[in-house]
Amino acid sequence: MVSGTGSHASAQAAESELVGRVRQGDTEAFGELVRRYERRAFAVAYRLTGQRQDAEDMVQDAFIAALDKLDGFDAERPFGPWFFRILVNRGTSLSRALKVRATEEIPGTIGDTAPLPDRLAEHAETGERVRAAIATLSARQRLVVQLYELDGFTTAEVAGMLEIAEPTVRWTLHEARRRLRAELEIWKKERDHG
Amino acid sequence: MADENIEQMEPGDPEISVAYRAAFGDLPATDWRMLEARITDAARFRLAARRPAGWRATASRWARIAIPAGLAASALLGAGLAWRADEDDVVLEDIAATAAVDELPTDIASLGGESLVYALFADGE
Repeated sequence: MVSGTGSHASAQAAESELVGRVRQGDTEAFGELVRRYERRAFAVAYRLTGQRQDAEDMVQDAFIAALDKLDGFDAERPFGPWFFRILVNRGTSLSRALKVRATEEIPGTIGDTAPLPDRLAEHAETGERVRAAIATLSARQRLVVQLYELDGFTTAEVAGMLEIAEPTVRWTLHEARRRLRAELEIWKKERDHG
Repeated sequence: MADENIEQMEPGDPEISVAYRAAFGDLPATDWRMLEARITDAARFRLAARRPAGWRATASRWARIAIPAGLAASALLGAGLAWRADEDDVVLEDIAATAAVDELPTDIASLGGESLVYALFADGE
């Protein structure tokens, strides 16, 4: 426990030092900061925009904005939540982007672990069911679900980046799962009887 | 009951996870190195503006200010000293002229300050 706290403090100190170097214009340090956060930033941006190119543009824009605002950042605090707040806030067309996302078709290939051809129809139907269950959530609640369930952010991280209370994040996730389980139960029964 | 479930929020429900992936899909493949290079390149001028100047640039900047300031100070000091010297000459000339008018001995006229006062009193007595 103590070592965990110590390790966290040490990581925080290293990050503070990194941020300090970026403040002095150190290109290598800035590159390191980008490497640390670009993947998760891309995940958030992609969930907001639904497009790879737009997501990459948004990530770049957020890093540049963070660099511009760096003098106002308290380097003793973790960089991540501050940076992700900038990223989410920069997605000014959040609701428009989510609307575009919601009307998107199911991707032809679903990730690296694409299902077998004979299971594709079943997979697609599951997707429809899930979308129907999630459609009752607000855009921001859907974002909470995606960031937590798909992209591996913790409830605290999601709360920090969306500037909402952590219990609200947990309630949203709980509610989404409850609706989803109910929908999946109905689907399973229909499938077994049909 | 609901609160208890909320507190136990944990990732790793495979069925839920599969269902979400079916609905929203995974992230598209991205060239991370290229993205990093693109971002770093876009930040190039901003980073350069943040970089503190090296000692040569600092010395040069100070020299641009210090050398003219030093020359100006030297000129003022020189002018000041010359003016003081002229003023001292004028005072001595006045004393000599006054002494001549009062017909004081020339050795008294050559005195100044406190010595002159003592000499004048002594002369009066």
